[in-house]
Amino acid sequence: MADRLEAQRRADRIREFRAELGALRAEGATPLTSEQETVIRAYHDALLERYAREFDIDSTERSAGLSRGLQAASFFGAVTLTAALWALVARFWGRLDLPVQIGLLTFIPLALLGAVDVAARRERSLYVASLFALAAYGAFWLAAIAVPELLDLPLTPGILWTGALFGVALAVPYGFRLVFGLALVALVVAVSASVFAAVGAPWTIAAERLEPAVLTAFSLVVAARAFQGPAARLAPVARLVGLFLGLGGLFVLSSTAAVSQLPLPDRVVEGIYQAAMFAASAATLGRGLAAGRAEVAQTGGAFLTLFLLARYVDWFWTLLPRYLFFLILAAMAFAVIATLQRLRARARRAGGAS
Amino acid sequence: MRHMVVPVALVTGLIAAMVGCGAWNRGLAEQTITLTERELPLARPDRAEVPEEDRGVPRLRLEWQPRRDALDARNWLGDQTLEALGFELSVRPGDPAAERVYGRRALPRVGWVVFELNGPAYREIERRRAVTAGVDTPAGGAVAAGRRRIPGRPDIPQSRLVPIDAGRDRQALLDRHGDGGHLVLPAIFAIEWTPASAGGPLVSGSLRAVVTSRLTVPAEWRGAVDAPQYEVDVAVGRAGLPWITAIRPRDR
Repeated sequence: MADRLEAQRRADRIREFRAELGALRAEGATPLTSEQETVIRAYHDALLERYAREFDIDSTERSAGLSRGLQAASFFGAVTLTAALWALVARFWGRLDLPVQIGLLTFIPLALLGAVDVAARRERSLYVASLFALAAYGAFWLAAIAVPELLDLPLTPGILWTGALFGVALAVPYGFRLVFGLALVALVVAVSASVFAAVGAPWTIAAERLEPAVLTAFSLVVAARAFQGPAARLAPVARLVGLFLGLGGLFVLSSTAAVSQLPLPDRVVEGIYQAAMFAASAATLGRGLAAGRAEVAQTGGAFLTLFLLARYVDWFWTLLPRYLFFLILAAMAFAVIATLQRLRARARRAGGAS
Repeated sequence: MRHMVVPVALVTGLIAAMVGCGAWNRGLAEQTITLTERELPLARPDRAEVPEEDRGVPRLRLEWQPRRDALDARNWLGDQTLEALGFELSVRPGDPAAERVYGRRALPRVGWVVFELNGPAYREIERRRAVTAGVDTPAGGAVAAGRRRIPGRPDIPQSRLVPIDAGRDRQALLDRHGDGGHLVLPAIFAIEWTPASAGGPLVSGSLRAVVTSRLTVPAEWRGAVDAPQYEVDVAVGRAGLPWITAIRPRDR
């Protein structure tokens, strides 16, 4: 068993197995003898005990519910701790001299990194450690932005690169997903910024011309396949971040040519990106369904729906009377329901046949 | 603790590198100039109304005459200068493709701008302003009178810093304008196309931003910027980046 996530999945399956076995027994359709049940129960108990000892997993519904509460609390704690640090800096900064300011900006992320390490040793579920990790990442960005400000230096793509590497180096050993996702966002911005800086343009133009960011984001989706070792468990995060940024960027490009660098008339640029957006979101949906990756299929489906709705509004809002506009949307919803029901019936027949 | 080696090295390395860059830049003042609240007003004009403990570190914002008029822009950012900055000017302004080429696709460029303080270029702007002083403007005459209007506060006379030259070679610009009345700073330039309906067709450049246009007020002079009028000594270092070396309150 490689990590806590896999152990938790196995424990969840055991819990479902026991619930179903209980229901079968109540309906008088017990498939196992009492001896077989006892042997399986003893084996599962030993397994759950080992997982609880090694990975601090949730072995009951109640503890799983409490874990979700812990996740929400650790996220809330991390955000508020980071906000407290930024507000503290804003409030007392004016009274401090430059060396003290820079010393504090260095000390805060280092202290939080130490807290991550201590918390990770004491608590295997890593809720407190992930709280400190997110706060450490926030403190890193506070230092990365405030130190150049204090020294009258410009922000550069090099700072973005360092921020991306810091996030990855912090997240990978412990599997901190949120920090990893934020680091990948920084990486996409850093690559895009460096492309513009390399051709003599200001790197901040990366926010106004989206092609390099979109290409980098989709590269992340491809690169996620090659993740190995401790990074392998973070591959779904890389896929999600890549898809969100890639499809999100394509969606904006398909809506307005003002953020494109293509040397073509606006209508042609928007047409190209509308075709690309449709193809990319449909391919993402298809790929997610084929590979059994729910998060990929949902992302593709959501962007495809958003894109089709946006285009429908764009093309027909002024062309059609309002009642017809909404009537067609309702008819489309009925068509989707009919199609899905037919697919569901076919899947049920196939399941029955097998 | 071994998992923390790389993050610790990155955060300390980055801060050390930034401090090193700052120290290297400030190790030699290649230019010095004295500006006033006209050229360097407070970045937050409402600072005096904020409770003292919430004021944070005061910063001053570099202000200059934008020279937005396309014809005036061509006086200091001619075709040769724009090409030197990296802009492609092969399409004529009257060409049907000009709007697309210059309007949206042309990337802004990073280069160096030369500002002149209270020199002939500023006097020419004042002369033109005097001519148009009687004309009503959306700012209620404040702009025409050369004053910057901030709601709820007395008008501040406009900046006397005027961009007069630009290029990619900082040393060449320093050689041409290296005396005390000029500032050479890293800046971002853009290119604009004016259609026939607005007096064109015309292609002109513009100064979009100065790379470090906000300067942090060092702790020892933070009280001085609360005065309505002040003088600021600014130095520009080896990397071409400015910083504040002194601030003095100024009598009216």
